[in-house]
Amino acid sequence: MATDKDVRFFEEVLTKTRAGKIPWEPTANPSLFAAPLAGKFTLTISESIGDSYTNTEYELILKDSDARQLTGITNFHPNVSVVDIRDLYESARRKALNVDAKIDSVLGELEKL
Amino acid sequence: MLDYLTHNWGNLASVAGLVFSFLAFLFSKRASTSARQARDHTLRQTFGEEMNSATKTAREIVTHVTIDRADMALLRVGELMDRASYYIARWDNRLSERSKNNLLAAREQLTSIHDVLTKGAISDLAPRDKRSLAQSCQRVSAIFSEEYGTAVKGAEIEEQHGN
Repeated sequence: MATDKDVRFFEEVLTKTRAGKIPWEPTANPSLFAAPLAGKFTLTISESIGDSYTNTEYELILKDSDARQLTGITNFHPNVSVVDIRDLYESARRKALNVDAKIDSVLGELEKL
Repeated sequence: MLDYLTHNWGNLASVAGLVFSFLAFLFSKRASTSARQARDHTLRQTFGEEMNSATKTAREIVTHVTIDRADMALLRVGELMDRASYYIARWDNRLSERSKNNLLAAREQLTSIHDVLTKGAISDLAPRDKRSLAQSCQRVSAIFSEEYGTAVKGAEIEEQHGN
């Protein structure tokens, strides 16, 4: 059962991810991104696309150094908005795939045309 | 002179005792420092050997995935996942935060590789999924290779300081 502390954890991860401070990396699953933290923890954020838009599930997981899941937050949590968790996934994806730097590079190329 | 020695033998013996005690302390300190350096060097070498072995296994995974041998790749991935967990626990007190993060990242990559490989044949994967799988395998190999390099460098620096 998710607690208020879990929500605070989610909000902190969201804030730090938006600020680009969490080293998200792509994995073998194109819809899953992972980040090690402080040499002790691992974060993962994933998107599972269901039959429809409303069935799409986003899940943020925190694991300890023994790979045990400590907590997991999904978009079905009553105190976490779908918009926020989708934003977390999207921000993590952009960081992991270095999207902003690549777009800057494309913009540079476009300016030369 | 003999008279002086006869009257002060106790004081002289005390001074000599003090000098010998100081020398013994000095030598034992040096011996303890050398023993610690030797132990650190051996541990670093052991870690280096383990990272070298992990790099070889990671390279095998890259090869098996490249030639669509999911069964062989899965065996090696399972083995390396176990070893990564062992390395994280075994070297927890001796590694930098960067190295610990690297090992955690490698284990997470291996977990995701394992999940993808258990879902079906590599040849059945969509091109995007196949590319992600290959890049993830390559990332694991790069991580262990980096850690091997760091361990070798550390051992060399220790050797230079020791000489």
